[in-house]
Amino acid sequence: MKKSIFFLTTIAFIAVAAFMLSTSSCKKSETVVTPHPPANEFLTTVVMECINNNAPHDTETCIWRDLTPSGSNPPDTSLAFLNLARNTTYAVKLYALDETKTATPMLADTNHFDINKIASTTVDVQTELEQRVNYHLICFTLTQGTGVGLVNDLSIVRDDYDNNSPPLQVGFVDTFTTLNTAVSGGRMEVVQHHQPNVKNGSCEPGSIDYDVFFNVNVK
Amino acid sequence: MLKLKIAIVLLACCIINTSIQAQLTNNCTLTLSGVITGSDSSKPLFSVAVGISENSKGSYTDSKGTFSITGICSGTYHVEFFLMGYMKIDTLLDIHSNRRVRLSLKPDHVNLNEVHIQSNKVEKNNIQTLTETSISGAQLQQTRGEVLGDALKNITGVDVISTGPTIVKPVIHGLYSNRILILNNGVPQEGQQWGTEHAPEIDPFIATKLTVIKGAASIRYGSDAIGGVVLVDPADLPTNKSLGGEINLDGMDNGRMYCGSGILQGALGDSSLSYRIQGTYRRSGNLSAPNYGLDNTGTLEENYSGALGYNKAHYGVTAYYSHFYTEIGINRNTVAGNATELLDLFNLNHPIVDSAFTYKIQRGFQTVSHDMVKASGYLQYAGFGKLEATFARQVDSRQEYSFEVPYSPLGQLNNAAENDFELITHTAELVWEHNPVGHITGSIGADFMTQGNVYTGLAYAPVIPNYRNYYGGLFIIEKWSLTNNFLLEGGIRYDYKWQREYMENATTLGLYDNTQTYNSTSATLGATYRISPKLSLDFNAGNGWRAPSVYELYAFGIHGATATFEVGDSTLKVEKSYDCTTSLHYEGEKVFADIGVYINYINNYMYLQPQAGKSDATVQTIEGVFPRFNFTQTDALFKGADFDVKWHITNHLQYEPKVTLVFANDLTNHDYLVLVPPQRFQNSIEYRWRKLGKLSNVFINVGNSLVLQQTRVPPNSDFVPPPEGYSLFSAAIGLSVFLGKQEMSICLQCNNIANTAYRDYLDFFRYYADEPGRSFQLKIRIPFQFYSNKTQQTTNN
Repeated sequence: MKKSIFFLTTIAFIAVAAFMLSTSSCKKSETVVTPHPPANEFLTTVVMECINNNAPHDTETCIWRDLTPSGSNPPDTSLAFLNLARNTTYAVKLYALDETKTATPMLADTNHFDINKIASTTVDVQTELEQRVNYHLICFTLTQGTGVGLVNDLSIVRDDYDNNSPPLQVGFVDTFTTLNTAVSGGRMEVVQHHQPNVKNGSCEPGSIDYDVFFNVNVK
Repeated sequence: MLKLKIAIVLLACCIINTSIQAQLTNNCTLTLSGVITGSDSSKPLFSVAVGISENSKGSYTDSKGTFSITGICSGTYHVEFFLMGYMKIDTLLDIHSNRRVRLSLKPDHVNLNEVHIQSNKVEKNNIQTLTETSISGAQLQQTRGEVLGDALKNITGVDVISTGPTIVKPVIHGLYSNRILILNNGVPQEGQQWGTEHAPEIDPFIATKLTVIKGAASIRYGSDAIGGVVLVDPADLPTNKSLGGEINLDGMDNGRMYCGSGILQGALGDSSLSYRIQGTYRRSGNLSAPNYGLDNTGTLEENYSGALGYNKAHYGVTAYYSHFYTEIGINRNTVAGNATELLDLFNLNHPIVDSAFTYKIQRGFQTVSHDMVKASGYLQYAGFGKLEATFARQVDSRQEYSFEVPYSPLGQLNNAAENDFELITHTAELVWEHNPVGHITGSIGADFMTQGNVYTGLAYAPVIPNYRNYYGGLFIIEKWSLTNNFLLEGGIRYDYKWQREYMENATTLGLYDNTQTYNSTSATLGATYRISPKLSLDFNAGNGWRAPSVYELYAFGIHGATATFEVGDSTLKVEKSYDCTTSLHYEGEKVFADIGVYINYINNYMYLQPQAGKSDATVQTIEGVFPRFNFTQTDALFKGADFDVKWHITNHLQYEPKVTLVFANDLTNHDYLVLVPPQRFQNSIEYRWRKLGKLSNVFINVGNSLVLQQTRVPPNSDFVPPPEGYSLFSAAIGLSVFLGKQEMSICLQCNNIANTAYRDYLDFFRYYADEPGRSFQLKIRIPFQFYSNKTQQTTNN
């Protein structure tokens, strides 16, 4: 019985010692919430800039912005309006930005967007997207407006190509052409597909980087 | 005396003693014969394996219970008598002339009066009246090369929930994830089990027995065991001076899977010190569905473990270490950007990206490593019973790499994981199995656990917050044998849990924490009644509880596999289950039947409720529109039945039908519940020759698995209706052959013979692609024994 008490004590001691040792050596690192790496970039803002080919000062800039990519706040779509003129051709450029690191909104004057003049704390993700041009494809979907039609009244042509062989369209640079038809309350969905190694020219493969929409009026 | 439970697989492996053989080859004409009966019925037992350890001679009893082994040399031998369902007898016999023995075997599972205090095995199942089913030996052999979840599918009452063919989790009586507990070599496995795409981090090759306890087992195992428990048990370490082991080789054509696993074990010197090392390597490439390849479905597994034991008659200590590492490719078709895209993908009816075969795992993958160190010891004396202490530390590290390379200006984050979880768990347990007091046996114990979880990653907000918890429980379970035929079991348990989460306010970036405490009392009451020697009835009523997991409390974001926006609720209360199970066991000469029914009422059952039709039905993010699902609680009722019948039609032919039925209802909303397994019917016919020329255990087996369509689903809970039912055929042939002194077994198996294209309701792949098509699998098991010296008598008394 003495022996049993000895072993009982030994086992209990080893168990407790091992436990204390292993738990006390633990740094309780869970109490520190690790921030995401500063180099990580989120897509928060999509800017679509349309310049009238015949009147370069006629520039339409519309913005779709979701400053909390976790979904905790609804996106700001107050500037997601695209007002175009009839019978006009526009040169279109898309920009993607990360505004999670900025305290102030990037654009005071939305009519004169310049990627080179954004706040220093706003990250230009577009440049990187263009470096990975072979991975990306922009797809546009037009939906009927509440007033007059849209689907056939606005033609969209992607103007830029990637380095695949044969080259495939990208869509960061586009041409919009309006007809002599008024449109009100139309909806344009702009989706950037992320298609590493699976890009084939169609919108299907891959995942989605952004899927945003702009309200379209043609006057 | 130590009771040795040598697993059946090792029983099959022949143990030789060359010295005895060399000395006594002169007089080798003796015969050992006899009759084996069952002690319960006194009737002769059919197909009892009789084996002489030293010369690997053996035989089986015929239908009259008789056997005969000839050509034995004069000497003293260890003779083993074994039949599934009965306690093995391992006895020492002097054979100097023809000898005839008469023995009776005691039934194993209706062993009412037997007090198991002699056992040196960590008998984790202390709830005797709950239904449990095990697979081991030849049956386990047929599952080799499969992941743990798939191996368990052969047990009635167990289904699987999966994310493609590579991530498979067990479901017991309709419950899964945090509602079932997996005990890996006696230690509760702690990983990120809240996630449906997080499979258990366990190498099935460490086990020689897989057991499923069906029903609420919280009384013994604490919180979380409200659906059931899976026990992954390795064989005991050898106790006789020996050196041996086993090699398993598996290959499969679909995915060109190859897998090798080896065990080397032995005991030294005075046989008190024993050891085992084990390792597994498994590699599989892209799998194929009947009509297309499944892109990026390769897996890699590298596992090893080691054990060292020192065991004496009255005390013993064991140290154990295991390492598990896996890399799992995630099919890129299963990444739906948003709900619209998911529907498009589904309507397409085939994956967008077909795949050519490759072993390479591309982006969209998980890596998981799980390390466990365990130290355990026991003391046993006739005066006070047995005391066992177990301590374990587990480190579970999981990295999830998304399909996209993260955006970073100089590509610094190209190799960074989108989600990185590290969970460190310490567990300790002390159990005292007291000596019988009159007709009462039982155990008293205490459990303790603490966990710390750290999330790092690229996501804007953590998938789950960091947390620390402390958990403790005290229990007592007693069994009272009122008569020889009636056993009563009861137990009570108290648990306490403290948990604190550490979070960051997204707007102010200030840190804050939330703390919860939970406590609960559980109880169980059960009875076993032996109606006749062949028929027994088990009844158990018990309750269980589960604190909400951190994911259920704080989830907030998109769940990639299903393209849903999931939102937790920090006010969720403890979930409690009240489970009643009844099972009937019949063990006749030709028919063995196990029929169980259960009803499990779960109060505050936590589940994801679709918000369709409500004001916040969807969430708009920059990635598109997602349907919103909120974690909420309801009262749920699970009921069902499991049937397993084995019918020995002739000495060679066996028919085994199995049925698994689950029905679940949401009582609060008068609706059904999502992700409940559909009804399943399995049938198999096996023809087996014990001996066929030089071959033994030759069998041909044909099976069918029929799964019905799940029609009991709530409306608006899913994007697409549950897939249609399916019927799959499989076949296997196998044999054992002596390679020198070692009995090697080979099995060739074909699954999904008809190459049927089907989808399974409990597989998140169902939106995107069919399940894998036909596969051929070859399994080879080679046991080996360099030497064995049975100096200790290993009887079973």
